[in-house]
Amino acid sequence: MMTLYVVNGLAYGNLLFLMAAGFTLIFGVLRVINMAHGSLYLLGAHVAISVAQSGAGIWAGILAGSIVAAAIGSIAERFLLYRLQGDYLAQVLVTIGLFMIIGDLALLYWGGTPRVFTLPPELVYSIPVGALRYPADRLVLLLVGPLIAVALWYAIERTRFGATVRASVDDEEIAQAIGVSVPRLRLLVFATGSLLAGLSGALGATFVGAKPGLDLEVILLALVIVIIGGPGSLVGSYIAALLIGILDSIGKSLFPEASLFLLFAPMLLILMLRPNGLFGRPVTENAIKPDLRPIIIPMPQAAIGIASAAVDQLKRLPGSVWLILAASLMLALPFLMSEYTLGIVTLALIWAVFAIGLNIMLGYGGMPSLGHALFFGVGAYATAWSGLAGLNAHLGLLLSIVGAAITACILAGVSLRTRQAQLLLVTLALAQVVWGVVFKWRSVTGGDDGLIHPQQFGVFKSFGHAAGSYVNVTVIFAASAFVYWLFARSRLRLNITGIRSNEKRMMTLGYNTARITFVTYVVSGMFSGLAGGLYAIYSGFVAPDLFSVYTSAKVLLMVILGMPGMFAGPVIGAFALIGLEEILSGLTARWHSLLGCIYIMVAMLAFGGVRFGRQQTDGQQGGAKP
Amino acid sequence: MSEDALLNVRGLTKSFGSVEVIRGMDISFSLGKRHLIIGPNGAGKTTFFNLLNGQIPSSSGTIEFLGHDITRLSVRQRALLGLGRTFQIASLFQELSVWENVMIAAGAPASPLRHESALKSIAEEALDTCGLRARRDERVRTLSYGEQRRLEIALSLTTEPKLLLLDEPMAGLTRSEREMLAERIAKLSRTTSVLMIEHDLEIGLPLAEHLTVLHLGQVVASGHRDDVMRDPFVRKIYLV
Repeated sequence: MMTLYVVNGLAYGNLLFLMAAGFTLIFGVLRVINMAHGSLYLLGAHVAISVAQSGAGIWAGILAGSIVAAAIGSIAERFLLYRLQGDYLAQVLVTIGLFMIIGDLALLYWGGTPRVFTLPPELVYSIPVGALRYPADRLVLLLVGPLIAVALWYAIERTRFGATVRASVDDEEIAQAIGVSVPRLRLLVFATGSLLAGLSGALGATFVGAKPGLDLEVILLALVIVIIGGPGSLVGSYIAALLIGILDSIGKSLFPEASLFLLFAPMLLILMLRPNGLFGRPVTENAIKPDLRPIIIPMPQAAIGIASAAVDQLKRLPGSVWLILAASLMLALPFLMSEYTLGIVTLALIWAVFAIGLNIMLGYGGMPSLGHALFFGVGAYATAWSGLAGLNAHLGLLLSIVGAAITACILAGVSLRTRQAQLLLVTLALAQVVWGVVFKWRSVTGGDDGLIHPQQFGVFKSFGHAAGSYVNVTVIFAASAFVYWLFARSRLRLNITGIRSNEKRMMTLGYNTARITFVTYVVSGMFSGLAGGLYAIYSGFVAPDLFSVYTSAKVLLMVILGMPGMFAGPVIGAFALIGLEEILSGLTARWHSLLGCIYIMVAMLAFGGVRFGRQQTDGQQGGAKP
Repeated sequence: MSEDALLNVRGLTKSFGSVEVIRGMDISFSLGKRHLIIGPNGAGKTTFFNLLNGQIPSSSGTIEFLGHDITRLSVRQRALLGLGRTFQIASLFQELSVWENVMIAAGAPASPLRHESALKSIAEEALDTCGLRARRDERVRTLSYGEQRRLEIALSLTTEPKLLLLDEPMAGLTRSEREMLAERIAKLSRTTSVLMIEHDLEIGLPLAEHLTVLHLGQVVASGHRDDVMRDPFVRKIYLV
């Protein structure tokens, strides 16, 4: 029996490797965290199944699946990611957008039922393994996996082309200087990585198949493998993939409830002991941002003039005027709106508190996180449990803050050892781990059904449900905004901004930079935890989705929308995105695709890939700045 | 070892791979003095500074600062003992305002313990030191090169270090800016000892009573500036 698990695990491990290899290749060479990698896998699987079922045969299906994935990956690189080189945050937003669009369109086109390709009887073989028989189609993986692993390794480590790739990872300027076309190199790497995603999806078509949600699972596994093996290391990925394959095969059969934990435990262990993974090197950031000419969306000169004059005027208003305006607006709202709209405003206020949390870390501290859903989720579940335990709401919210703070303290040691793109990778992985645990640990968390809890706001009950929630949330929002305002004026803010700007100099001034980043991380987590607690009371319900990458991506987009580091930014971002979501979901059932487009547009606009400006009449470099 | 020893360096080496940049350096500097370090390009001057403040680890040898063995201490720990430095290329907080820059230095752990209320007046003083009071709310990246250099030095002075390492403070400054800066350094309190790397001898020499010449990672001469200037070897390799 054990032999079967191991063989099964090895076959699965090889599939995992094929899938993760593309991801690690793209991250290692281009520093792009391709969140659409799972989508390309899914696309590969769907296309392969459709082509094979049309009678063209499984081999044609595999070919088609791979090519479609490679083509879509190449298009994304050439037209979107290429313009955002060096801005890993912008790139991750773009790939999240693609992930949402592809997932949504796949659901539309292929439906929600899981699809698996059944081999025609003449292709079904099985081979004896111990006392049992094992399907031969999976054993193909035992052949293809190592073959591609060796081929990739050879291409990168032993050929002139590989040397060029490695050289341009280390120093793009040198690569340019010795006559390497970096754009073409990037395209080739991206196409290869995407091809591998599609190929692995197609190869798994006969037993993993394709279904909605698989894209996210694939990303999760790829993350675990890449972090264990070391970002950018092929050898590391191969070993990690086999390990995860075998653990998964044994875990699923013997300890179904703990199976996800079995995958994550090794990752946590590696993060604690070797932050760069088994075979990884410390990531050197490609600091060079090529001077690309942005796409200019032509705007009449007058419009630009009026817009910038208006912004200037608004900036000149003193803070007290803003405060009075905001306070009177908030007081007036319940009398102006329907209960439904008031509920949306309440929701936006909750998200604003959440985004304030991330802005403290990202905007002021320059530390990105794609895992802030973790604190939000912990806060939400803490408040839900407090309700189930019969505690009052204030205590529940306090617990949500404390819970998030404790979580941050525990995870800081694991995550804050990395910076920038790698920090993004690690925070994402950690949040996904907890998501997985919450999802599976039914007895405590209610699993994917979630928990319905009786927690309610204790005061302002006489206002009715919607207005009562609104008033409660507004009061807590105002208190949070006040604390946030104190933070913005504090020494902590000054110091963390100093670290973002010049960490080396902070050290020569004697600052304990590790402690400052730690405190910032915890403070950031506490705001987000409080937001989670508010959300739990607001919705009366908590579910593992709160922990998901969707939640993290959404709050990240809010902060980016509001311009990181701008004081009122998170509030503006939260209202803009929640409002937009509300409008889009009323317009069309395909609003996920539309939202995906918004992710891409925001990334392109916020990071300078696209600009509004005067139409250019002469051939000079560079566009007019808005 | 004399009693007023500020810095004692024994057998210091640093190699990058097979290239030995600092080759068994033995030198001591005395308290309260102004020391000028000169040497041709590649003599290892900046590497020597990097070793002194802990930016890079030494390969072997010991560094003693005010009687403490600091060879294995981190940049931060050395800073807390009173070792300050400026960088060849201004190393400021580019995205922050001038005021925020001086406030960070005023409240730095390496600075003497100050009451929260005193920080502002210390920072104001630093603004006067670099003559940037009028531009206090502007972002550092909008300052001219000369202004950035001045701010750089003001930041280092604000922490009142016991030893200040100045790495080519005059480089890239205009004539008048150099004279202003030289005057400022000359007026420094004698509680701050200074070690300065400077190519411009015309302005550097009058500031220092002690002169050390480095060549290929070794000390070729060190002592009172007039004695060193008479050294035939020094004249040959550096001054001609």
